[in-house]
Amino acid sequence: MKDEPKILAFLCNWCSYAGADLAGTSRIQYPTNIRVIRVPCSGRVNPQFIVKALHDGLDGVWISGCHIGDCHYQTGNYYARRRFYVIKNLLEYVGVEPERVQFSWVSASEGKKFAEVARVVTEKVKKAGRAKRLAKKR
Amino acid sequence: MFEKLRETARELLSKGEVECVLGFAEGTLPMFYTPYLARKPEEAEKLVYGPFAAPNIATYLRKLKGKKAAVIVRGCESRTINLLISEKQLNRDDVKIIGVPCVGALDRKRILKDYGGEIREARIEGEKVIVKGDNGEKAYVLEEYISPSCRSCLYPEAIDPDIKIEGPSRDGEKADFSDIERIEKMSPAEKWEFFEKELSKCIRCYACREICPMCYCDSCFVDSNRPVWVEPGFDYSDILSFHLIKMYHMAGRCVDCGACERACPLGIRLSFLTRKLTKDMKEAYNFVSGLSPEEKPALGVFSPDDREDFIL
Ligand code: SF4
Ligand code: SF4
Ligand code: SF4
Repeated sequence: MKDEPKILAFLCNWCSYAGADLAGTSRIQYPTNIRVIRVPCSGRVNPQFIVKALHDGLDGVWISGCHIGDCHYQTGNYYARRRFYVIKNLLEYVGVEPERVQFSWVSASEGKKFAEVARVVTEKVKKAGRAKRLAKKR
Repeated sequence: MFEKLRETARELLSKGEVECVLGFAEGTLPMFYTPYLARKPEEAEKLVYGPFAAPNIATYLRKLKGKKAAVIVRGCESRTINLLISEKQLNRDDVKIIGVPCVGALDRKRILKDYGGEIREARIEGEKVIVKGDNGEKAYVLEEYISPSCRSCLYPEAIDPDIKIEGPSRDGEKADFSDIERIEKMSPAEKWEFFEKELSKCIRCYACREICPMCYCDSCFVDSNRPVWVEPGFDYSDILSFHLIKMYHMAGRCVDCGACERACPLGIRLSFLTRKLTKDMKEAYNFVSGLSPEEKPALGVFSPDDREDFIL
């Protein structure tokens, strides 16, 4: 367990969180590395959360919201998409491994896709290894 | 050389068109103009402009909100004013914009370093900076000592000034981002090493924040203790978190004036970050901060077909 990475997932209430729920009720297996925080919308995720999560020692951060056009609040994920692009680029530019921060769109009916993306994210974060760069040594 | 500007300022003040004229004057240190507020017509005689002006004058303009003021600006400063108007920090009707030509701001710290001893006098002569001091008189080619941000400046001339003072300016077409491209091509490990070397010098004095015209929040995230975004101390993870979050706040708002870099007492090349931001916003969203006062900040708008090649 010690070498298993911990991945923080911000899932939007209306789509990706419901997708995770569907994966659960359909008994689809997905990696146990994911720790979920439910947010009202992917637009609620301030990119500062990503920096803080990595700083606090999380090995990866995954943010998932409704597909473009399907946002419960209509435009939340459009704004989120720009913000995530900016912060992902900045993080990579200063040398944080690109694998560590991931974004996806998963709808409430995509239980299978949720599990699949969870696997992909976990594999990518594993490739980057345990967090060492931005993580504060305590 | 400043006659045209001084005459303009004198006239504005004596006709009572404005209460004050904000610009720069000779300072007490060589190669360093100080922000100056002319309130009486005769005070216009002190006004100067040019490469020795290190801060972004709009930082001080915000503090004059509500007053009828004229302000002397270069390209980046005029774009800052546009941003401040669009963020409701200034009223367009209160400011009279006087555009001056700009060949770039001087990277003063590099001249100090190359000269070695103390410099007591400096002047600009054509395309050279002539300095006098401990090691006698020396001349430096101005263009070689221009701030990195100015080398990649896309709009050296003021946007839509009310009054324009003519003169030679840089060429925005020649903006050069090649050093940023070099960093982008490095491996993550190399990038990490590169920035750790540069940024770990930071003592978090926050001079870069104080001087920034767009960092005007009454309460900044660095002072927040619920949650604590960045902890005190010298751990690089905290230093880097500060710079990353600050840069994120600057996305679509930074005009890349380079004032923060010139203010940093440790000589940290903050332009490696601000210029990356400028380059990204232009490439991804064709956005240049502050081109018009009506324009919304880049992160306050979206387009249905924004890029999403980074999404799984
Ligand atoms: S001015 Fe320089 S040393 Fe001070 S906080 Fe900014 S980068 Fe750090
Ligand atoms: S760093 Fe961010 S929070 Fe702090 S003053 Fe600047 S914009 Fe405001
Ligand atoms: S962050 Fe941008 S706008 Fe602010 S001082 Fe630095 S270069 Fe100028």
